[in-house]
Amino acid sequence: MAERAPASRRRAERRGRTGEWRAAWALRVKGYAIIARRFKTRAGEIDLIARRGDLVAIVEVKARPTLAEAMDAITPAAARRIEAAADHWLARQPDHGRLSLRFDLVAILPARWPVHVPRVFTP
Amino acid sequence: MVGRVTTVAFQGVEAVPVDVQVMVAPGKMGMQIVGLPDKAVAESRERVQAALHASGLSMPPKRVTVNLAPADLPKEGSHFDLPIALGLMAALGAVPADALAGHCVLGELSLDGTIAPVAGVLPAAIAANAAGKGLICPAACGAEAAWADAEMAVLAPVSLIGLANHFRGTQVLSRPQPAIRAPATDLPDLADIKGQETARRALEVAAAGGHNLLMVGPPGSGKSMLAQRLPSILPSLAARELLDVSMIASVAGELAGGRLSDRRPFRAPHHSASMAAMVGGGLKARPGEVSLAHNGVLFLDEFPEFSPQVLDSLRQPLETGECAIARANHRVTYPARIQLVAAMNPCRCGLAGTPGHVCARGARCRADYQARISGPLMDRIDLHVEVPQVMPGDLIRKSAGESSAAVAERVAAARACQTARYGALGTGHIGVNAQCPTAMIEDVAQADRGATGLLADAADKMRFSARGYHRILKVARTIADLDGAAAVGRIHVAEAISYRIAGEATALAA
Repeated sequence: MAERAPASRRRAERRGRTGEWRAAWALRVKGYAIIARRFKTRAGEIDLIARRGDLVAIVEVKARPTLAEAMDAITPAAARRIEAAADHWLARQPDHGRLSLRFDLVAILPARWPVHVPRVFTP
Repeated sequence: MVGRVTTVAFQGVEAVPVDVQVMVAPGKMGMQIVGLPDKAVAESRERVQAALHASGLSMPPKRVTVNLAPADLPKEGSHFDLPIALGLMAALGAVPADALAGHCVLGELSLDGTIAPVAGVLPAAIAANAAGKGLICPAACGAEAAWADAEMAVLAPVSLIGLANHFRGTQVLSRPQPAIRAPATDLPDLADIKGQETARRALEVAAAGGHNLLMVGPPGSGKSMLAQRLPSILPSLAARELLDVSMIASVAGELAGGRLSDRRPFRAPHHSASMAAMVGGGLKARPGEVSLAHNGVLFLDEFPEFSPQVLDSLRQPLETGECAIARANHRVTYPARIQLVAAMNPCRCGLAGTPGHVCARGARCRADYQARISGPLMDRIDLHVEVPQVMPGDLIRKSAGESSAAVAERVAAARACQTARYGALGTGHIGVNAQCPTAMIEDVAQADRGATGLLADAADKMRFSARGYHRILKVARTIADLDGAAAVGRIHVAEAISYRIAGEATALAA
């Protein structure tokens, strides 16, 4: 068991990175600019930060077999973590006064184009 | 990007203007409502978002802050949905802001964007008209709002889209027409009652002068039947009274389909009624039965079965014609000029005074039962009448009693006489003898010498209270009006005294 665990971790890590890469491209196609990836703070981590005009989308990427499972994966606790991390990010932006934040989800589903769900939760 | 819309908050039947300010600014996407909203107002956030979505508008990806000013006035009710939605649409530029400036807005939103009816549209319309504004209200309440003024601009859209189209000019809404409920034709008729000539006469006098009436009689003698026929002989409401009555009904949410009725209200609460239900109160200081019966009849069947506190709470409204409800958060005065009609059995077994009946509990039975009604309340009832059991002979007799229409005609004539009199004296809202101020009744009655002599004698012997004395004069005035007599004569005073001492006699027997 002890030898297999790092292998599965590595596989999950790789699957996560591929998912984020696909999600980033899906957002770029929609006209968003990806301004940060895997943004880490003490409060939590944000998968992707995308911007279009003054609108900033704080994006959580979830790879799941179905869309419903992906949406369920954002628990209230996870939502709080993302929100806190977003506050950290926003505080470091020089133009924070004109930015509007929205919390989105990109679901990576098997054999499908990534699904973008805007405003998956509200603060 | 601030949208401003005017709406109202209700304090009793008064509509207080409230300014809804909607600001759309950068920040975390979401919507917040401030300005002391209660639960129904705070929840309007979800309804507004859903209704905007259903109307094809999406929420802006920005922070939306809604302020309800003045911020220290508690806001309650569901009618803030529409002003908030319109304020938001104005802030987004979906409707022109200057089009909203001249309007007062109220209405509840459904999730599909249609506008649901709300309570209190009539007082809001009257307040808006006084402020020189138009009104935007739900379609179902349009007929009610149109009553406020014939010249006033009233918009009654079915949905948010309908209103947006109106402002865009693609589908202009027409002004709703004031609607009146069809006169009730199925009112029970006095002709159904056989015998009971004394009680019928007392009912007629009560109707003519707006006097309070108490009927005492054994079960099954027809007290409730008589009371239910009172609305059929009362005249319909005058224009001013109609608005007063409808304002209270509107605030209580009792105007079905926005139609006003010119029938006088007839309220018959069950005897389990609480004090808040009777005089008004509760969480929002809502009008009680006395106020809902304003300008009409409050009928209390099984009078002594009401709790004593509830009955005594009627004393002040009966005297002043209004109820002032004071709570920690509310100080509200509702008008309550009512005519009290009560019915009761003479004792617990109901048969005291019936020839041949002997109660196992003796005279105490009757005394205990009647003692439940306090003296001061009894003193406020002008007409006491015994309603004995109907004789079998009367029941078998084919001939029907006089119909309501004939009695209503006499009552209307007597009321016209009073309206002309008090109109000439310029006493404002007073329309019937029962409401005549004490200072004026001596002049109004114009009692001749025989009448004053009789009244003085009776007052001396029977020890009437000062209020009782003046109330006898008022009743005598009404009886003279029914007679078409200019001055109150001896015979009128005699009849009035007989109604008074029927009560004294029951009290003495007790």
